[in-house]
Parts: sequence; C-alpha cells; structure tokens
Amino acid sequence: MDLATLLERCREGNELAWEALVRQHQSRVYALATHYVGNTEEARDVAQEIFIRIYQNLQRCEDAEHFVPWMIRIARNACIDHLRRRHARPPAQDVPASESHALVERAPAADETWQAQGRQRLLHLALAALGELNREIILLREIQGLSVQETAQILGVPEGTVKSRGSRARLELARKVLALSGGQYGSGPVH
Amino acid sequence: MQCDFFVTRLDALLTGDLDDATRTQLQTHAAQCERCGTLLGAMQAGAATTPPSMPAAADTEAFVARLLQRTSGSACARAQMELPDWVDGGLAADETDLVALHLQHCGGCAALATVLGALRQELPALAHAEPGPAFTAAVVAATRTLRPRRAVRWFELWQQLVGRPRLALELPTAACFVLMLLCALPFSPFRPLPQQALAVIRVDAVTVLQSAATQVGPVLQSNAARVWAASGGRLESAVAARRRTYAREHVETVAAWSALRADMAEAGAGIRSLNVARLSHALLAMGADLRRLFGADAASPPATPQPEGGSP
Repeated sequence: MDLATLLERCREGNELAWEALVRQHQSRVYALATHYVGNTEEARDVAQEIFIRIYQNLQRCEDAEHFVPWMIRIARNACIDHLRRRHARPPAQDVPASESHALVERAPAADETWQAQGRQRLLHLALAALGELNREIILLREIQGLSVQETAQILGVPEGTVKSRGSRARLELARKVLALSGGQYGSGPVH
Repeated sequence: MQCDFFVTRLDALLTGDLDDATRTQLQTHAAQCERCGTLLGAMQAGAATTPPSMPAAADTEAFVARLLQRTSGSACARAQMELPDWVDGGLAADETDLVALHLQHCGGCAALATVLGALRQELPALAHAEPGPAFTAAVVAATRTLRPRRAVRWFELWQQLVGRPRLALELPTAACFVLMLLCALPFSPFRPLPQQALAVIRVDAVTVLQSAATQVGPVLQSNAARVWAASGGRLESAVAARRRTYAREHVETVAAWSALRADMAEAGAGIRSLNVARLSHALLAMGADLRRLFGADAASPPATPQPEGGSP
C-alpha cells in the first residue's frame, strides 16, 4: 500500500493502517530521537511522544510526498521540547549544581569505550563533537536525506547557508573522524 | 672556428650527437684554443665523476612546499574546501583534475578525501535504528484512546485568536482603522459614505422633530382649551405668557438643531480630512447641541465651539 493511501486510512481512524505507518517509520524516528537526545531509553520515550503528535496532527499533512519532512520536523520539535524540559528540570536527588552539570557532561563520555568499537559508533562520537548547526545539517541532509530546501525550512535558515555550511560540516566531520580514528578510518573497520 | 660556435655545440659533442666532420672540426679547435680545450676537459671530467640523477621525491615535495610558501601559500586549504564537491562529483572537469593532482601529492588531503568518500556511503545508514520489539505495540496502545483531530487547523487558529486577552481592545481598534481607511482614502469607493450617513441622520432628525410636533401640538392645544374652559379669562394672561415661553423655546430648539446639523457636517469633514482635532471639536459641539435639545441644562446654552485648524 502506498503512503498516500496509508495516510488516508490513518486519517479515517483505521488502527491497522496506523500500526503499519508506525512500523514503516519507527526506525527513522527512533534514530532521529537518539541523535538528538543521546540516550536510548529517553529516545524511546521521545519517539513514542513523536508518534502521538503525528497521530494527533495527521490532518495537517495533506500531501504524502511531504510526509517525511513533516514527520522529521515534528520529531525535531519534540526532541527540542524534551531537551528543554530536561534542562529545566533539576535532578530528583540532592546533587549540587556543579555535579549535576558534570553528570550530564559525563554521560556521552561513559559510552566512549562502547562507541569506539565500530565505525558507526565512531561516527556518533564525531557527530557529537560538531557544532549544533553543523550537526543538524549533517543529520538532516546527509543522514535523513532531506533536500536543501526542506533542511532550510526545518532549521529556519536560508538555503545558501545550508549549502555552504553543509560542505564545511562534512569537512569538519571528516577531520573529527580522522582525529578520533588516528587516521585509520578510510582504510577499514576501526576496532 | 669561432669559440661561440664551439660552445653552442659542446653539449652535442659530449653526448656524441654530431656527425664526424663537425666532431673532428670541434676537436681540432679544442686542441688549438686553450680556453675551449680547458672547457672541454672540465666538462668531460664532470660528466665522468658526477652522473646526472633525478632529485628524490621527498626533495621535490619539499621544494614545491617551499615554493608555494614563498608564492601563493599552501594549496591544501583550497583543496579541502573543494573536497566535498569533488567527492560528490560536483566540480568542473578542469577543477576535478586539479584537485586529483593535488591529492596525488598530499597525504593529508588524500586521507581526508578517503574519509569523505566513506562518510558519503555510511552516513545514510545512521538514519535508521530499531527501537525494540515492544515499541510498536506501545505506540499503538498510547494512541488507542486518541483520535485524529479533524479541522484542527481552523479550530486552533480560532481558539488562538479568541483567546488573546486584548482582543476586546484590538478588534474595535482594527475596525475603526479599516473604517477610516475605507472612508478617507481619495480613491476609495466608500468615500461618500459618511456624507450619505449624515444625510440620513439629518433627515431622520427632522422627521422625528416633525412627528413629535404633530403629536405634541394637539395635546397642548387640547390641554390649553381645557384649562381655558376651566379657569376662564383668569388664566388668559398665564396662557399668553406660556405661549411666549413656548415660542422662545421653539426658536432655541430650531437654533440648536441648526447648530447640530452644522456640527455633524463639521464632524464629517473632520473624518474625511483625518483631522482628529477637528473631529473631536465637532463631536464635543454635537454633545453640547444635544444637551441643549434634550438635556437638563437647556437654560444655559453652551458656547459654540470653534473648530481649530490642524495638520491632518
């Protein structure tokens, strides 16, 4: 069944169509949430929230051709909302502010040994070391495969900025990867 | 033989590229000329002791690097700037060749190009990650109690609009501005509207006055007749005085209506010319006229306001 029909069935309240739509796009949404949130457990919760938002706003997506960019926009907004909430909400236990900041800083570092076991994990590390806009451009353009126009609309920047920053972001990512892999990335798997 | 001729043929003599006659001629000249003989001997000795050799590759690279440093600067920055397009195949043919030539001699840029090419292949693989087997069921369960919203866009827009706390102020203000623009712009089709509205008001006021007069007149006449009949000639003087009062009040009423008409026209002119001061004066004057007509201070006629000219 093509996406337009699937969306129409979902709008009519067909649970089977909705389940099929979730199965089709859950890996993409979960991966996106993981990239933004950085924690797999939280990413799972955020991905569920993203799908709830998608379900509630299905009427707004009238064109199946633009469903994926629309879904990615919703996912990005939900992730940003989650990050804001996480930033605004202090930890439950009685931890001094400086230590809580250090906990947040240490979270990706604790995964470093695990991430260094494969090329994709090395890529995650290098992506995390990029600046915010460069990382989002890489995420939307190179990973999610959106067009320049769609990326510019989602990020709220001119298309020229996406083009110029996109090349620079790829170059910066390549440098980070080279630095993290000790110059061995291009020649084979990193272990 | 001239020495110049010998010198120009010296390389060919050393490499053996001359015919026999010329070689013999040159050798004879070298034997006779001390200077050319010394030069030939030195060249032959040098060729025997130091065979020509190409510089090592590292020396060449160092030489090129030093040369670039002293002239245009390193080409790596430019090459790296163009590497993403080079990897994507988005460069012109000549520029592609230049970058490729640079990559043959620059290990750092070549490594970067290799990583960029690998990233181009491997980054799209990061777009998907499996959230686990229970994820779909959890999402379906979470959305089971919900229903997709219909017509949510217009409804939410309406809610946002109505929910604005200052809507009660903003809406009349916006309406007034729209009305003023419609009636005051020179090319507006609604420009004669205020004049027409004033004409309607004027006609209505006169009609009301006339109807009131036709209703009040017979009542007054019958009352006067009844009073005259009851009191006889004793009230004649009182009635005459009342008649004079009525006449005076009638004159004042007519004057007040005339002033009201003039002030209405003034207000219309103020609206058309967007002169707020003129409009406010006219409105104040209209209020005073209405008080003269219907208010409690009919005994003290208000001063006629003088419109002040102001810049629109």
